[in-house]
Amino acid sequence: MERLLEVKELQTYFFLRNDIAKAVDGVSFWMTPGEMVGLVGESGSGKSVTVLSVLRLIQPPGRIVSGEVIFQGRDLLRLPEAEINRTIRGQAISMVFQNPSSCLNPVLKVGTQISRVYSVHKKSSAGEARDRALEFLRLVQIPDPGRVMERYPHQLSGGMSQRVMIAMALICEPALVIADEPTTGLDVTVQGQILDLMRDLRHKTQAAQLLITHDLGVVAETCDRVLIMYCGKIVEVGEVGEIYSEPLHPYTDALLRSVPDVRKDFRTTTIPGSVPDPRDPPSGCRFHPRCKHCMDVCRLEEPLLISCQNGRQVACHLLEGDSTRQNQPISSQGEERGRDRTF
Amino acid sequence: MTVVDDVALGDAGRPWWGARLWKRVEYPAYIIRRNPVTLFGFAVVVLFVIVGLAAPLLATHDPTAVSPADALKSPSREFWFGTDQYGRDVYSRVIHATRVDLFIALSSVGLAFTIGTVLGALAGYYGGATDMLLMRIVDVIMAFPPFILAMGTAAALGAGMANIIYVVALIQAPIYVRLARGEILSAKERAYADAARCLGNSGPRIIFGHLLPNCIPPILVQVAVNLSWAILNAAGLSFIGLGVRPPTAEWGLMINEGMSFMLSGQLWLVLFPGMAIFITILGFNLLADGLRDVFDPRLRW
Amino acid sequence: MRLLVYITKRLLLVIPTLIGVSFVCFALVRVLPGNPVYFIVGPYATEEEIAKVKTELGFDRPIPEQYLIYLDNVLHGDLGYAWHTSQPVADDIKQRLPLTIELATISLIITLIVAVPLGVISAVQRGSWVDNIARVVAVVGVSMPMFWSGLLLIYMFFYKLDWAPPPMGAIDLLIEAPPRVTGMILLDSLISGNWEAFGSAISHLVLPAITLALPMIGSITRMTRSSMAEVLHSDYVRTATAFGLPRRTVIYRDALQNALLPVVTMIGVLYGFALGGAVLVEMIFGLTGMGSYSFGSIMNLDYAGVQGVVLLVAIIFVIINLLVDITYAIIDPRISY
Repeated sequence: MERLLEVKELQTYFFLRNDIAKAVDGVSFWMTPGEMVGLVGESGSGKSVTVLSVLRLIQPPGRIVSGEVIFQGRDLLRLPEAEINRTIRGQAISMVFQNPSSCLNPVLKVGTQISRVYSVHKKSSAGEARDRALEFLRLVQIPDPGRVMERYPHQLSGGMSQRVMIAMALICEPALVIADEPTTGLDVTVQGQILDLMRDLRHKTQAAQLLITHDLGVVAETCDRVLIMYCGKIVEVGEVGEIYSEPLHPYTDALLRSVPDVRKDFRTTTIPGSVPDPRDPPSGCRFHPRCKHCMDVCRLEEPLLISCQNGRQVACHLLEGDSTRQNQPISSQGEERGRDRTF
Repeated sequence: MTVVDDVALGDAGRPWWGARLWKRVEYPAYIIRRNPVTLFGFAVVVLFVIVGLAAPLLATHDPTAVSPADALKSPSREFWFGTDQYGRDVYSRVIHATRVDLFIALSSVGLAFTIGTVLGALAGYYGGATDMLLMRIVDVIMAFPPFILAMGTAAALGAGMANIIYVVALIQAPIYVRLARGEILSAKERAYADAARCLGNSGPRIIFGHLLPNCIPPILVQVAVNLSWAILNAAGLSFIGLGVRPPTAEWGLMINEGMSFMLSGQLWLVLFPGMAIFITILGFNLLADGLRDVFDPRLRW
Repeated sequence: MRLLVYITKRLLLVIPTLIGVSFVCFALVRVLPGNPVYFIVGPYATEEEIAKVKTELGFDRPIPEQYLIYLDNVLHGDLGYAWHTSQPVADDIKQRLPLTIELATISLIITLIVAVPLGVISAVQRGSWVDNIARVVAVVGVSMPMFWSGLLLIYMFFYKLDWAPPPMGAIDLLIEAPPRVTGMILLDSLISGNWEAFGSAISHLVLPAITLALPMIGSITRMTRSSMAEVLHSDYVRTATAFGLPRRTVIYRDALQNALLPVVTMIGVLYGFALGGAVLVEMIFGLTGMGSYSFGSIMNLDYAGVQGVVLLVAIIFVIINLLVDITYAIIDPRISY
């Protein structure tokens, strides 16, 4: 299947007064039309910067240093800004942010803000845009859309605001919707609703979705594939089911173990150490200071992202040269995991 | 602090007395150094203070010495800024006026800052009737355009150095009251205030020992700005005759005295005192801008 | 309808402030050190005159009663008698108020026309030469004392270049003044179609208005710039850009509308500044407004005049601030009424 989006060796750095923070340092991944992909990582891993780079929303002191972002055959990084604005943003690729309440202009009515996304991109009349806005507000299950259109953002709850944002994102029927932690900051019950909505919309629209989150549970429920990011690099890629049952990268494994398990009295295992500073990442494999299986080569050489079968990819020295080993779980934990994880 | 602590902090090589202070001062010092404009402002302020303090040493003549024979001479080697209609050396008067304005600025701002901050902090912390009453009073004071109130009060109290200090302090105090009150109101909801309370600290101790120190930065920027306002207002009041009394040299007063001679070509009577005000205030404003950048977390990358 | 209720509510809230203001003005004359009678009667009065005035004005009565008398007088339009002009203060003020209002208003308009665009462009094109010049102009404007810049302007444009008229009065002495309708010379000459007077009035008002406007321009430019810069970095501007809205729309519709809100609130403060500064400017340029009136009163030790001006200016200031607040409540949808 032809790839919708292909990111190759993206590098986005932040040029600070004395250092350079390599927020995204050689990230490559792809997406196919209509699929739902999760991008998982801790805060500071570079997830948001990655997707902001795709839409070229990076502001100084940040700068996209190199790489390619091929979307529907065109390299977005090489297009003029005006064209990205006109054809891509809001139209072919849309983005939904966290903190939806602050993403809406406080002095404009909600209806105006939604409609104009449509009327600007499709050059429609005001009436058409308004009808379309109403239609999409219904699509995101907002009750009494006519009234909501006349409201101002401060009069909406967090959940409602996020639905409005989603409506705005979908109104031009984009091929790709990027959601950057869309449920963070919302009430737990509302979180569930929004996620259900997004899953629902996935069937209704043809759009592919890239969901950024630090919440593994969310990814498990909603996504087909998942990308695991650590410190500016992608460390593992794979289908959700496989990754969750047999994580290959020690970081993925540790992440999964750190989720409280109801069956085990909520016992968790934290990952020792802390997230590295992007201005001064560890040498070699960036995870090596916190990795149980750290070998000498891990300190010296950065592992490359290599493909195993089934579209799985891992960046870890443990599995290098073992691409014949075909998804061999990390040996010392094999039995334990097999016992505990009934998937 | 032990030697081990110093080394651990990486302060080896810094003056021993400055170890902890240096950490606090390092970032502002960096901002001042980095931005030449701020550096200029800082230099001007320092110059202002030095000239004010060392006035008698820097003046070439006695500022009050009248000498009719030398009246209205244009700037020359003997009289660097020329002389006024009484033969007094303008340069020396400008220098001595620096001292006067320095004193007025520091006193009035000091007074306004102290009383205003304390009252505002107490009102913010304890709330209730005292808070409401204080805020009503502040509202009334701020209902007057500042210079107009200054004018009216100075007219009622009479001219003179002491009165001018009180007047200028009066028009600034409400700002500090509101600022301190606002800061305390938000600070007292925070966790560290609760922690201090749990440890058994008394009210005033919490306010002045814990909450206020954390609110100081925005208040400091305000102080820098207010110092320049104080000078401006004091000079303005003296200009209309409600401030410092002659024969004291004060910049605004000098401009008033020299005004009528300007249109017969003797510009120096007005030019130099005004220039002094301008440069001093410019310095304070530039410094205040720089300080604002220091305390703005967004610029801190 | 709800708006009317809101306005009424605000009006009622203003009353305690006005009472406080009147009390302060009362205190300034009667309570503070200095023989209050001298303030009314002047330093040249005889013993008998002083005694007469004392009883007449009720200075032998207790202070609270005096305050009520004062308040009563004020509400009936009696602000005392200015012996140096031989007129009631209220009449003096009526004659001179319009010119000051005219001057302040023109300065304010000049300020907004210059400073707002300057601040906006400055923020949008951060670091450009426009930005740098704007920042210099702003900080210089704010740092120059008005009484100095006014004098320098006179020196340059009148004395040296002979472009401006002599700083004496609002209109050329040889031209007949238009009949008084509003008291504002520009309006009056327009109303009576007297173009010669109008032209002369403009040329006389240009330099004073600029002098008064300069510090305000400095202040508003900085404020607009920082407000705009802040808005340009806000989440909703970033979101609007993320949705592909044209840059122009994002700046001039979204950002600007939000950034200008704080500027609206400043208009009241500016007016207060202009009214205060008018004292200095009128004095320098020989304009016969309230500012020079208060100056004249001070010089003559005729304090009734000063206090009358202080009271009136404060009242005007309170009203203007009230209007600004109401306007702001209308234009900011987040404020409910």
